Order: sequence, then structure tokens, then C-alpha cells
Amino acid sequence: MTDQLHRLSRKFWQRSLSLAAILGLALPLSQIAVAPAKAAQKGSLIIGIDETASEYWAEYTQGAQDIANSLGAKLIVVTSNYQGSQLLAQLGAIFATGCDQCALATDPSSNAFVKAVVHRSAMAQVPIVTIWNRPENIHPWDTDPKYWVAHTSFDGVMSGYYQAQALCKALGGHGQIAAIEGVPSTPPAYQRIAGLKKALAECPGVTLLDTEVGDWQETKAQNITRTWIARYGSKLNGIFASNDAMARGAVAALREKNLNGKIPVTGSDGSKVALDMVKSGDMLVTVWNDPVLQGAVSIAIAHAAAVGDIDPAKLTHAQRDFYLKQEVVDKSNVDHFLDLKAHAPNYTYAELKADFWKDSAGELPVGANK
Amino acid sequence: MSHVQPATDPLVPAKPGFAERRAALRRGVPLAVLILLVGVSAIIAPGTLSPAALNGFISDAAPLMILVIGSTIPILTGSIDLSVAGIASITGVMLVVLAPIFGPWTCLVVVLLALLFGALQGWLHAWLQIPSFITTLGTLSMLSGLSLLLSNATAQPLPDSDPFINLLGDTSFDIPNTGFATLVLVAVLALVMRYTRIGRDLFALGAGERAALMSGVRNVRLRSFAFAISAGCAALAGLALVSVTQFSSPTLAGNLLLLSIVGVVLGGTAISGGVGGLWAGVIGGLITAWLRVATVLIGVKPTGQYIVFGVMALIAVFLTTDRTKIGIIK
Amino acid sequence: MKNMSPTTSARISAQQSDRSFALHARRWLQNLGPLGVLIVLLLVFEAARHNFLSAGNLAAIAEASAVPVILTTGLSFVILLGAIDLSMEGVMAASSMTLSLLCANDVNGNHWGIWGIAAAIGVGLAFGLVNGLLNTILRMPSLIVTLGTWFIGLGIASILFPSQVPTVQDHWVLSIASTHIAGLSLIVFVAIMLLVLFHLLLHYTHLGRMIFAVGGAEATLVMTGLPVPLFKLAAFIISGLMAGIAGVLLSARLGDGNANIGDGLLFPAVSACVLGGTLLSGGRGGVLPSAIGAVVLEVLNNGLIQIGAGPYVRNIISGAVILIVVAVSGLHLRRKLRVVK
Repeated sequence: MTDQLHRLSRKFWQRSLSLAAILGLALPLSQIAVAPAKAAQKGSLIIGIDETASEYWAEYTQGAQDIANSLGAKLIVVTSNYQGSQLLAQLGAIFATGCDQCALATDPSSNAFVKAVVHRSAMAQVPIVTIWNRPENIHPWDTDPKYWVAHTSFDGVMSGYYQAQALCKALGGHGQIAAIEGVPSTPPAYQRIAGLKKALAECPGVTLLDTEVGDWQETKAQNITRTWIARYGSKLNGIFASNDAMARGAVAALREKNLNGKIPVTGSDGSKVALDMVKSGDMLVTVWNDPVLQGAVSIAIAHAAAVGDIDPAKLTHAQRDFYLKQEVVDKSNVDHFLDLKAHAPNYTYAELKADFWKDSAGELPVGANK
Repeated sequence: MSHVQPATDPLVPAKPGFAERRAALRRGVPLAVLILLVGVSAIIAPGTLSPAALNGFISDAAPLMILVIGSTIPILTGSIDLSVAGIASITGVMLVVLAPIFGPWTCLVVVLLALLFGALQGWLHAWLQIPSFITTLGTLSMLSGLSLLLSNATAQPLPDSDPFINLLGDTSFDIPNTGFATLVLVAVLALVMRYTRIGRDLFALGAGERAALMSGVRNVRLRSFAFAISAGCAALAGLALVSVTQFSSPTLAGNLLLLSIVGVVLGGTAISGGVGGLWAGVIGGLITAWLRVATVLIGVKPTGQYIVFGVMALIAVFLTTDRTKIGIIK
Repeated sequence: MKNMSPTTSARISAQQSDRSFALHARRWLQNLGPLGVLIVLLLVFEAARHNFLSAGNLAAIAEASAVPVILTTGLSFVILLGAIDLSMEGVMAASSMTLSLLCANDVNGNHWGIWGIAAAIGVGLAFGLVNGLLNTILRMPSLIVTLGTWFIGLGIASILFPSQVPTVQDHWVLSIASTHIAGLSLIVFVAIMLLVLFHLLLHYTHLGRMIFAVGGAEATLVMTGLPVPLFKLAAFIISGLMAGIAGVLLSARLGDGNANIGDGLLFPAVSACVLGGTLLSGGRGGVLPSAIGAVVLEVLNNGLIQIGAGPYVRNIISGAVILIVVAVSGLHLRRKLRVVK
């Protein structure tokens, strides 16, 4: 009898613990603001970003939010976590609720998903502007041209070129450098390395010792740089990192040997951390790509097509496939960009509408995405 | 709740069929969870059940479903195949690489290669007695390196004349063909499981391997078969994916590995083997595919999506796992 | 043995000690296997590239191995149970964010100092606790539980993430990475200390022996009435704790909080455990063999970078090495009726 009681009471405890655990799990759910998405409101703006825990994407979202605020429209953010199939599925879910005069600006997460994402958007009759990723052989004017309004990116070749030029100058035209590449299948990764090689061809005294893939990640770049220091020692005079996160990883590895500031490191993006490091002298240069501007311009153009302010069919190729301007940041002008970072301009749709292409740096050349 | 027997005549069996009914009820839980999930999101976001929306859902969910169904087979034997997403990715790459050689037969060749690769993997695992987890982890690393190497790490357009890809990418009666492909796959596998010895042996191996071995189940052959099926399904999933993207890429399938494991478990298949089946795979695949979009449908802020997905998956697993059949939970 | 004559018992105990000697010798040999692989790799790379064994490069390998060793130490406890912990990447993300937002940083005014470190490690501990509770009390398989908490960890990191990367400015935290003794950072010494500590815990305490026992024959152990769930809980907590510490060390080394800090560390850690000879089915192995496995992987990685193998080829080679080593080192265990899952 007592045995049975014992078992019963144990069972009871187990059940109530289960219940408590479920409640414990469910409570955080209610903490996360759930804003039930009825059918997306008329004129909603949708952006697709790669991840939330990133300064770059937070600023991109900020730019899009500015435009949404100026229009009094709702901004819907979809996160792919670098998974194209997830982006497709989530966009499908949003379009499913019905979308009138919606506009979409998104990174298709990789070249492979561009066509599918554009097609999905066109099926839902939502104008789309893509950023960063576009395969070489498809363009807004030849693939679902009615809805794929434009593609915009930053010129990776120029960025790599600027960085390598700065390295060449800092080394006085003589020395050996090593390069850390981003995720190999993304256009900015191979473009920036191509720019590096272009600049080195013009600077014959500087040679490339080694290239490794750091997948855009700080920790990987740190490990690679540590290995390089051990292998090349004083032969290594400079490090070319394809983005700021990897530059930071490289600087962290140099700092372990008190070499930071002594071996110049370059990066690209213009993140806050990189600007700080340029100011402190740990980094030589970074290239300023303005994500706030990119977010504002890309979603504004998509919205303009959705409400009829522009007609995609009447746009030139240079208006449908363009780079946004970028600038080199070194110690001499870093304060200006730090200030810009702290007080990003508040973009409005009306202001951008005057000339959507004011900050364009020209059409993507043929072969840019090869 | 309690297990206290009702005070009846001990000669009359108490509540005949109680255990059976309970088991049937348990089997229904995953389906109930699916219906609940779909129902709730339909109430919150009407329009999710419109034909156009469902068609989009089918073509997005099909690759994941096929992966889940394939992964179920090795898991039934108590093994696990971590290489499925790697195989799905390399399928697209191989399509591009092999198209000049095999022309319209490329798809068939690629699937056959996958079957062969899977069989080899299963054979390695069973014959050399290396745990499947590490065997397939090793091959996963090799596959991802190989597909990066073969594609030179770039996304490439598919040859547009491939008849099978075009068929998969098309629709019949306004429903994506990938949906039908999934159904055909399930039907074929179900027939194999139902009417051959293989099905019974797979369960036997998963439920009690030592006993199964002693009663003459051919372990090595059966495991090779199980892994061949899961690799073959992965290749099919890869084909379904590229039929949507029209591009191949060495990282096409990305994190589908984790989602496919979640899918297998959500359907009620025990990770320790012996419990579950194809039907469970179908339901689990659907639940996972729905969970993936549910966070967007109910309007969770993007920063919260990971947490909500994780918590919902845990709750769903809690509800759908049938613990009465598993002695030790590892 | 109570009712036996003294002679029989002596004979049996002699036999036993004989057998246990053979057992010990065999176990040592098995442990030497991975060590042999390590030495062979070192020699091969030294032959391919002179000055591979230079002090500088060995230090680089030690620095790179430190965190993987910590992770495999924690993971080994769970794997010894026959369970698995996949959550470490998520835990590290959450712990890194917690640390960088609680210690002095450039985003908010917090200045918790050493308590910030404690809080971040506490996050890891809490994850381990939740994993353990879900596994033992709710009886959910560890694989799926920790897969779920992996996502949750990433989610916590992304909720905590402010609009810009939080840079750590805390002196305490930064000094972990910047203080060097004999050319090695404190991180390496922390790793060695934890390794020794948990090796002792595993082999010389009741808890350690019970963890081995649970992995070997859980069903039998349950019947003896021992508090098996408590042992399992402890293993999960240790694993979470280690992931939390790893998150702190990695952020200290980078000097900022990063939600992707643990990316790509999980699968190598599992491989390292298996490489070292810790069986995924549980009951066999230890933290030292696993640590050797982790060092083997780092040597391989470093060496392949040194000889200039491209990153894609590196994937293929390391996959192949893992398979070959595990297959060869498991050959002596092959038996007709052995259950391998």
C-alpha cells in the first residue's frame, strides 16, 4: 500500500514538474512581443535580412524603418539566417496573407536563391529590389522584369582595390601581405580579392604571401592570423581582411603578440568597431559602405514601383543595376564618419524620391558577378 | 492518470483494449499537434489556407519533407545520418558538372550515385562498426569540401533542358509536382516496408539490436540499405530544391540537416530507434515546415524567432514523444 | 566471496589482478593510439614544412586548442553517459553577449567586472541545468533537447544584441587574453587547469565513477536505486558550464560580444571526443583522450594551413582523417554481435 502511495506521489511530482517546466518554457513566449499579423496592411514594406545580431543588418533595418516611418507604413522584417530556403518559406508565408501595394527589398542570402526569390515575389505581384547577391547572367530587365525593379550593391572590386592601394602606400611600395577572404560563394568575397589583385598588379613591390578563407568571421580570422604570425614571422608586413569583422579578428591576433598597429590591417564595411580601430591606429583603413543609406534606397525604390511613382519598364540599365557610392576611411577623415555613425541622417521617402540614384556609383560592369 | 486497477473480478480482464486505445491515442498526438498549429495560425492570419498560399507552402516544404522521410529510415534502426543536407547540396553541383556527359539522364545518374554513396556509408558504419554519428559527420565534412571544390564555390545556373528538373519544377492541377513526388516516394517506401522483410527487420534492429542480430537479421546489408535510402531521398530533396532555385550551390541545403532531425523527432519517431515510421516522418516534416513559417505568420519579432522556434520545437517534442516504449532515455 | 576458503579467494584475486593488469595495459595502449596519431601528424608536418615544430607555431597550436579542449572536456561528461549535448554553440553565443553587456563596454553603463564573468558562466550553467532537467525529468532525448536549446541560445544572443557590436573594455576580462606567461596566454592555462580538474573529478570521485557506470549500464544502475538522474544532471551542468566558460574566453580574446562566436565549434568537438577514443555509446573514454582528439584536429588544421592546402581540400582531408583514425582505432573492438549505433 505504502509502495503504491509512494509511486502515486512520485508520479504526481513528475507530472507537476512537467507542468511547471512547460509553463517555464511557455512564459518567455509571451515576453516576446507577438504582433499578430493580420493580412499585411496596404503598402507594407518588407525587408529580408541575413541575421539580427549584426550591426550591419541593424543599420540596414534602420534605413528601411526611416522610410516606413516617413510613409506611415508598416515594416515587416524577415530573417533568413543565411538560409535561402528559409527566406523563401517565410516570404511565402507573408505573401500568403495577401499583400496590396507591398514592396520587398532583400538580400537573397546567396546567388543560388536570387531567381527563386524574385520569382516568388513576382508571383505575388510584389515589386522587389535585391541587394548584394545577383548571378552574372540574370538581370532585373531580363528576369521577371515587371517586378524585379532593381539590384543594388557596393563595388567589391573597388573596395578591395582601395584597401590594397592603402596597404601599398603604407608599406612604401615594398613588403609582403596576406589576405583573408569571406564566404567564397558570395560576390563581395571574390570581388574584394579581385580588387586586391588588381591593385597589387599596379604595386609590384608588394607580394601576396597567402590567402585563406575566414568566412567573414572574427574568430576564424583570428586563428588564421595567429597561424600566419607563427609561420611567416617578420616576413608578414600587412593583412588584407575582406571585411571589418575579420579585420578585427586579425587585430585581436596581432594584439596577442603586441603587433597591433605595427602590422597594418585593412577591412571593409565601415562598422563602428572598425572606425574606432582606425582612429586608435590598430587598423589602417576601412571602406565605408553605408547600410542605412542602402536600406533606405533599396526599399524606397521598391515602394516607388509598388505605388507607381516609377515604372520599371522605363528605367535604364544603369538605374536597375547599380552600385552605391563608398568611401575610404583612414585616420585623416575617420572623425567625420564616426560622427555620421552616431548621427545617421534620417531619410524620408519624399527626399529620396527627388532622385533615387543620387548616391549611385554607376552600373555594375559586365562580369562583376562572375 | 493513476495506474490503480479498478476493483473488479480479477478473472475478468479490466478494460479490454485499454492499452491499445491508449497507444492509438498516442499515435494521434503528432497529427493533433499539426492540426492545432495550422488551426491557430489560420485564425491569427487568415489567408494562410488559401490555395495559392498552400501551393507555396508545398513547394517550400517538399525538400524538407523528403529529407525527413529519408532520415527516418536510418533512425528507425537506431543509427543517424548527418550527411543528408550535404548530399542534397552536392546533388545540385553534380547536376551541373555531369550534365555535359549524361545529358537528359543526369538526374537519374546523380540519384544512383547518391544511393551508392549511401550504401557505402552504411556499409562502412556497420561493417567497420564505426558509430553512424561520426561516420556521417566525417562524410559530411568531405561532401561539403568536395562540393565547394567541384563548383569552385560559386552558384551556377542549371542546364535548362533537363527534363526531370523541369517536370519537378512544374505544376499539375495547379499543385506543385514536388508535392506529388513526395507522395509517390512515401507510397513506394510504404509498400517496401509493408510487404517485404526489410520493414520488419528495420524495426527489429532498432528495438533490440542484439536480439535481432541473433535471430539472423543481416545487419550490414540492412544498414547499407537504410543509408542508401536516406542518401537517395536526400538527392531527391536536392533535386526538389534546385527545381525551385534553378541554380546549384555548394551550400544550397544549409541548415536543413538540423530541421530534418527536428522533423523526424516531431513525428514521434524515437531517436533511439525501433519506434515510429514513414507516416510519422510525413507528419513530422509537415510540423517542422509549418513551425518554420509560423514564427512569421504569428508576427514574432525577428530577434525572437530563434527562441520561439526552439521553444515550440521542445514543446512539440515533449507532446509527441511516446516515452512508454523507450526504456532508457539517452 | 564471504564463504570461500582463503586459498580460492587468493587464487581468484590473483587472477583478477592479472586480468586487471592486462586490462590496464590494453587501456593504456588504446589511450596511446590517439597520442600516436598526434605524434605522426606532428612529424609529417615537420617533414613537409621545417619549423612547424618551432616554439612560435607550437604556441599558436596551443592557443587554438585551448577553447576546443575546454569544450570537449565538458562534452565528454555527457558523451560518457551515452547522451549528447549539441547546445554549445548557442550557449557560447548567449554567454558572450551576457559578458559583453554586463562588463564595462561601449554600449551601456554596466560595470559588473568580475560579476559579469560570473553571470556569463552562470548562463552556461543554467543552460546545462535546463538541458539536464528536460532530459531527466521530462524524459526527452538529449539530442533533441539540446538541439532545441541550441536555437534558444542563439535566440537569447540575438535578443540581447544591441544595435552595434558591444566592445568589452573591462580590465579583468581583457587581461585574461592579454596576460602572457612563458609566451602563452592565460586562456591556455585556464584550459589546462580545467582539464586536470575535471580529469580528477572524473576518475577519483564518486560522481565520476557513477557517470562511467551510467554510460555502461544505465538500466542496471537504475534498479540499484542510486539517484541516476542526479548524475546525469551533473554531467549536463558541467557541459553547459564549460560552454559558458568557453564563451567568456572567446569574447575576452576578441574583445567584444559576438552572437556567432561559437560557429563551427560543435561538430569538431564531437569529432574530437570520438577521435580521442570516447565512445558515443557511453561508458568509455575520458576527458584526457578527448582533449588529445581536440589537439589532433587543431594540429591538422594548422598543418594544412601551413602547407598551403586550400580550405575545401582541408574539409575533405580532415573528414577522411577522422574516419580513418576512428575506424582503425576501433578495429580491435569489432565483434559480431556488437551493438553500434
